[in-house]
Amino acid sequence: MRVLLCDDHRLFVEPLSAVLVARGHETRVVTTLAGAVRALDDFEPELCVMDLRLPDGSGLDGVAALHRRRPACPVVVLSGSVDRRDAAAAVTAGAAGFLSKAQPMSAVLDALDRLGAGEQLAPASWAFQDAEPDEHRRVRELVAGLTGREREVLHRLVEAADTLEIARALGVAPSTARTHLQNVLLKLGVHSRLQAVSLVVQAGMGREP
Amino acid sequence: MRTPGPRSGGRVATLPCPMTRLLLADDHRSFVEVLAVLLGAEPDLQVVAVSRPDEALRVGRSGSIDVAVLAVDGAGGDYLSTGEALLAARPDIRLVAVAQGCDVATLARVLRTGFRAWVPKAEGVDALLDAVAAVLRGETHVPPLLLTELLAHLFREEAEVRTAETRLAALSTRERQVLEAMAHGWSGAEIAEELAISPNTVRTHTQNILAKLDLHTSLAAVALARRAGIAGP
Repeated sequence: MRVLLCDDHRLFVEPLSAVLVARGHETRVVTTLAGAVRALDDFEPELCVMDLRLPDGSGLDGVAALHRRRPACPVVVLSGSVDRRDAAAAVTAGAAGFLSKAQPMSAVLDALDRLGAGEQLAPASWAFQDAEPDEHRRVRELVAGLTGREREVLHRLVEAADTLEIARALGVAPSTARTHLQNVLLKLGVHSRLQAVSLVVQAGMGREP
Repeated sequence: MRTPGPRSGGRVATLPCPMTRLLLADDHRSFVEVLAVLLGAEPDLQVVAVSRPDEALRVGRSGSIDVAVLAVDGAGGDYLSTGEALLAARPDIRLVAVAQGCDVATLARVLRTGFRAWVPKAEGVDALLDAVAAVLRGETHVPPLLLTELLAHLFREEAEVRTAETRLAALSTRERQVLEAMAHGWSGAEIAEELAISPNTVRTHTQNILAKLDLHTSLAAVALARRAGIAGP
């Protein structure tokens, strides 16, 4: 079977290619979406394996593009992600399956074999999980919940700006800056500016919250 | 495109040991497993693949591993502290970082921890083999372009630290302790309890700190402390 592998992590995709070749398949490795689209015509793959994050765009767009051009060729996503939302988005884009790099190699190879044989993949639900909300993730999500303006305020806070400096940097009245500040503290669930800074810095987000 | 396959034994001469035992650790199990298959075909490599930090520690501590190749950023997990623990248990082990991105601050932290090489996942298997051979020869192996950025980063950091340290030198031991506690986000009451002093004394210390550093807010003092590296990350 001709398998097109699209992943910019050559350290992963080169060995994967070698393993597939050893199993009797023919492979082509590309590291960009543009390369994948080009390979559709000159390689004529029977199966495509697509990573989600690529240098020239999202693998989801890649899935849609390949699926549109060659509906007969199943496209499977093989990603580092184990997020349910990514899996759902991939299937919506037309993916024949969603595999995680966290799965054992044997499970991935087995799934590729079955797809190549025209079988449907049962949703490997164990591969998707709502990853443990560890502290860093929790903080990241809290910060993601801030408005752009509030994030700017937080950024200034980490740089040790006071209310007046923040107001000046944002081009707003000090009272407005204070309101933003209060909202930042409220949303981060902390009582002081120091706590807010300590929270994001310890979550490794000090430089660019 | 060239399809990678098992290599000839041409590399044997470049490796100082006849057989190198390699540990691969990354949360992405299929990644370490396919990589182990390919690297295991090298005549001079013996490879163990694991996908959990505790397994990496167990295997690495066992004493037979020469080189540990560990994921240090991104979705492959963070084996930085694993590397640190391995190095503490086995000072002769050589650590190679495998990284998703090219963040120079992470690179600096990785090297400071004792890693000897940095290989981006975008690089091929040859790059990893080169890095392994290099660390076995006692070299440090960082992509040259990143090295330029790294040096600029380190020099800048060094200058910042020196400036901050000079200013902090004016503080007494007690004031330094208070500042450190502030940097961890503790409240005045918590600091008072920890240092067994009254909240009023904490306030006095804080005022003195700000006066000595010529700053107006605790936040600015903490930022300075962080630059000097006396307060966490």
